Amino acid sequence: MTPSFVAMPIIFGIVLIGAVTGIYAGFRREMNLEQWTVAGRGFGLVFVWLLTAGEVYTTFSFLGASGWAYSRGGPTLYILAYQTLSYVVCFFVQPRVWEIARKFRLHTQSDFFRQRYGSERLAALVAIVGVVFIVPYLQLQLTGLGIIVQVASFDAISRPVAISIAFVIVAGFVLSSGIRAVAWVSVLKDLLMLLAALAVGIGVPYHYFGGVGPMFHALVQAKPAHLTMPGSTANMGHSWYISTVLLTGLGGLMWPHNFASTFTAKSGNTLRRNAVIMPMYNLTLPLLFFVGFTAILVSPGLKNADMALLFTVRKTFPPWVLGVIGGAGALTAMVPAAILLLTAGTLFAKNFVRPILAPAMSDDSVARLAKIMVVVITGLAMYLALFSTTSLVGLLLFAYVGVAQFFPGVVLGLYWQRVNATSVLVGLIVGLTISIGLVATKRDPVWGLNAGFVALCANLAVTAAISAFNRKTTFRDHSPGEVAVGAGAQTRSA
Amino acid sequence: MGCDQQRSLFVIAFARKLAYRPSLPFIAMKPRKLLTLVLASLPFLAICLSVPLWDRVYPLVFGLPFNMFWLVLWMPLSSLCMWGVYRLRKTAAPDEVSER
Repeated sequence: MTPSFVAMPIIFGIVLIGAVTGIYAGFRREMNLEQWTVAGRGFGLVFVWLLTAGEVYTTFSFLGASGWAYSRGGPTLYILAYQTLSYVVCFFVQPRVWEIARKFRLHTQSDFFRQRYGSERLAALVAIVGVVFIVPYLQLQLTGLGIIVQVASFDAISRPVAISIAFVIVAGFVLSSGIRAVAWVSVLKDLLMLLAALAVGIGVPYHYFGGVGPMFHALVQAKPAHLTMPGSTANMGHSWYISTVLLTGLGGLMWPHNFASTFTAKSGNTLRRNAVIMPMYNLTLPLLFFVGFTAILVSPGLKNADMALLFTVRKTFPPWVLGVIGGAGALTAMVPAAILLLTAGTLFAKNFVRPILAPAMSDDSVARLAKIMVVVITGLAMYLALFSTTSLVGLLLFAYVGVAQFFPGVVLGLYWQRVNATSVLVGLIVGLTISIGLVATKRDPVWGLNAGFVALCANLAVTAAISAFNRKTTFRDHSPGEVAVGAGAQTRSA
Repeated sequence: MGCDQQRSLFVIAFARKLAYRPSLPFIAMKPRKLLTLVLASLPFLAICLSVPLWDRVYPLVFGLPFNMFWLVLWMPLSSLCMWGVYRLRKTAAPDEVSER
């Protein structure tokens, strides 16, 4: 019996269970815009946790973290730090954003900008920039999925086939159940990922060295400088670490899909409690690092570092374990892809097309258009994943640095009344120009600092400088369509 | 002797006066707010800004290099800090917290 014969049915079985769960999640519910995008704002702690865990633990953590541990060493530690700090900021920011979203019935990040600054143009720009940055993130998930399934099935399922099947399924459950599908499939995904991380993180070092401790002992002997910063890189020292942790910790909250999951919560307190427990979830990440570090000693000289985890696991474990890891890896790509698609579709339909091309559109037609866009964006990302040759990590870096530029618009806007559309717009353009300029000319890191951090500082400075001359405005000033809040709702203003 | 006592009294009185000036945000903060600020900044200090202090391999703790052990240790500790902030809020606005 060939190994692929064992692994393949397991991968297909897991993906199939995921698909059924996703499609069933919204069964017998009317999927209007409110239900589809924010699940009627009724999620408690468990579902909000599943959504956030679903979107932070992507194929990038699965392949990228171990790949960085393999190729760069010390600097990889930033991944352990930024998500923890990100949730410290979340604790304070998310509940306030949620409160405003609930009061004014917001569905997207761009809605938030429109409500706060009263400018359709700024909101449309935020929406389109968001969509532009979501596409490479989506492409990364697709490519990662292709790699995982191909390796885990012992090359029985080719990359294009894996990508196509998975994304037809993702589009299917996003269309049928919206954000509920993401939360429900996340149950299966998180459980499997936890098992997979424990199995490979402890199993791989144990297999070759008899434990994690002996593995590190051997590594310190072989490559003493690899484990501290700058590790095996030239310019990722301590200043790079600090600036990168700050940028990704603050900027990571600005992903448009992060707003979508925030809005699903049923109260601000749900979000606070989620922020308290989220750092504990990162405890599984070091396990993936262990595999990358072991790979340095047992499979040196890999051309593509992102393959370090999978090759080492394939060398170490029997086929059925590969099958489970392949299935878990596929779901790890599908869950974030689903929420990315949902967010991109809604942003495009509600915040770009409606205000600019068809102001008279009803919410139901917006939902229909958003669903059409889900299909279109799926197609686009699939095309890019199959035919584009651009380096993925490069693309994601670009997207991360870009999305972080929304930070002043959201956070200064929450706490400082003098910030207005002009200051945010100018700051955003300055930030985007600098970050795109630096990353495109390969000047990242610049002066030992993360390029995005430099851009974010410039952005904050410009926004603040212009704002100092403005008069005060608040969320209430721009609310032509304010909807009365239901009885018992929280009305304490921010 | 007497002069010294007088001076210390003056210092206390002056500090009190400072403490109630709204223009001095850090000193004028209510203890609860100050504690919130301290608890929320601890993770930033411990795992971001202080990196030169703990970024080394030795001593290995539980088989982990020291820098990795430190970051892993601060995952539960950060949670604990934020739980403290959550508790502080709860005593501040109990009715809001009881609503799920």
